[in-house]
Amino acid sequence: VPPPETPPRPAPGTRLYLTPAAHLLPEDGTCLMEAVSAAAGLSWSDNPTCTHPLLAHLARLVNDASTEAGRQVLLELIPGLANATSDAPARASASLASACTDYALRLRPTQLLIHLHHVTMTQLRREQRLPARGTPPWVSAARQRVFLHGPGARAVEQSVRACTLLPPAERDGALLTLLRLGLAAVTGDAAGVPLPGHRNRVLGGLRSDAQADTTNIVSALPAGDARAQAWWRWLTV
Amino acid sequence: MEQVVVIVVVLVALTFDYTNGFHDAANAIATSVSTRALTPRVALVMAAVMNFAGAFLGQAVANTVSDIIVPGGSATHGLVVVLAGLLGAITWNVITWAYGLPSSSSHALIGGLVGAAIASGSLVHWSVVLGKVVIPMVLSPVVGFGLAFAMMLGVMWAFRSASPSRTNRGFRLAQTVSAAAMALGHGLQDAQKTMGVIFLALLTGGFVNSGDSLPIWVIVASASAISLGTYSGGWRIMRTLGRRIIHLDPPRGFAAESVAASVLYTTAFVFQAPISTTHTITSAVMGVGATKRFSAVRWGVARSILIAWVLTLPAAAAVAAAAYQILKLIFRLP
Repeated sequence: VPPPETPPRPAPGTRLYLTPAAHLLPEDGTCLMEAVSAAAGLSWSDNPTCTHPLLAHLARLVNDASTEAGRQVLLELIPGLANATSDAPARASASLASACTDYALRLRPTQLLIHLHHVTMTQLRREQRLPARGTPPWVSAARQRVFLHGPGARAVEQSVRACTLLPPAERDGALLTLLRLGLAAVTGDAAGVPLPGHRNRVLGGLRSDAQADTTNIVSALPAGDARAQAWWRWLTV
Repeated sequence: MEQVVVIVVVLVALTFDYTNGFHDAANAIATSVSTRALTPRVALVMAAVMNFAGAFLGQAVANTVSDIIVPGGSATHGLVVVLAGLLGAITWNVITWAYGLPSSSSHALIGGLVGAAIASGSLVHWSVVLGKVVIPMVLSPVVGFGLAFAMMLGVMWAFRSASPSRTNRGFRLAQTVSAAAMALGHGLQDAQKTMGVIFLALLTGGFVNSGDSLPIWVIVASASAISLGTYSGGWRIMRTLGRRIIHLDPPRGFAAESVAASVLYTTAFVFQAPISTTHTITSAVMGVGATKRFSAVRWGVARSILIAWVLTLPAAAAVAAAAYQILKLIFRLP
């Protein structure tokens, strides 16, 4: 199949079309987090400030690892991702990373995943305790930063890797579940995520039809921000 | 004893070379794959082959690397200094990978050698470090950004009235050449750094003289290690585990790769300077992006390069110094 001469663009009035990889400009295409930055009315970026950085990392990896069809299903998560910060970002990082490894271990356990799960759970327990007396704030901040860019990021990457090794028919579903779990871990809405066939917990919340249209997304954007609406119109028309 | 240590140094240097190729594989193939100029498999094979070929094109960078320090004391002591430098660089690369810190393999290697030399009281040629390492290291991304910006403006002006689809088709074809040139530049620059270290070890052990040219087995081994690393690392990147690929249109991909390759060739052939291939291609990509809108410049990436400048040299030097102290105990050196 010859490659398209221009990036796929959504026809007026239809859904936005997500593409893999990062894009310097909206004209080159749009990945999930770039669509989130536009939806939130922020400057064009695949790491917008409206989303927890580790969740953004997970969303970028899921976007790139999904199939063409599976990637479009991720559109339903844009409103949630556009407002996915946490009052306790360090705890959210640990919670997200451990949720990812926990899920990935059920799909494809490896020694590395087991190790990373142990590390993330240790970090989560540490974050759930009260900070040790006398620990300077910069030490805590540095520790959190190191976890975010190091073991946290590695845990998320290996979890995505476990999903990509599944048969094609199951891959997109697993990646979507992983991203939903990550979102729930950051926003604290852990009751909303279904884990098909892997846990007894029956969880609802986020819509499963995954066919959100542009109108629904615009109505769910944060506080009807005019700049966000303008961005969105530009992207979808 | 010296022979055993030399063999260890060569093996460690080749491991460093392999990891360098593994880590930097994206540099040569990312833009071509993102514009669909090449399929991932073809891009990887081409990058590995051109990496191998690039290693045979010159020895100037290797000479610069081997000229940075003069290990003092006995032959065994000198070899331990080189080994400590290499271990320092590898350890720092692993630390930065594990903790997600910005880094550069090339800077880590230079920092490691300098740190081990300082810790052992060996001679460091500071004029070489400043003139052929630090200044090119700072200038190359700036030049890459500026030249890519200028070249992209030129391309846009030259093809302003051409049909976009025909232009894209043409540049996609041209990108096959520019990607090959970039991979050749990667082999030329990065394989020579390892060759320089191996030559330094052979020189210190008394197996070659300072005026000798590089033994052919050193060139072949270094070229093989970096191309194998590139091939292995490329698949990891294709599986979305590595650095994220930036989608570019074919004219931008061509401009970025051509400029980066030109900077790599010029620094290697004209200035004999080892520079970071990662920083060069990254800044060139930012430069071509800036032609359309300045907001397309990823300042976060620029900040990472800046942090790598500040952090890598002293940190790798410190780790190498610690490695030297440990190795001194293991080898029971005075």
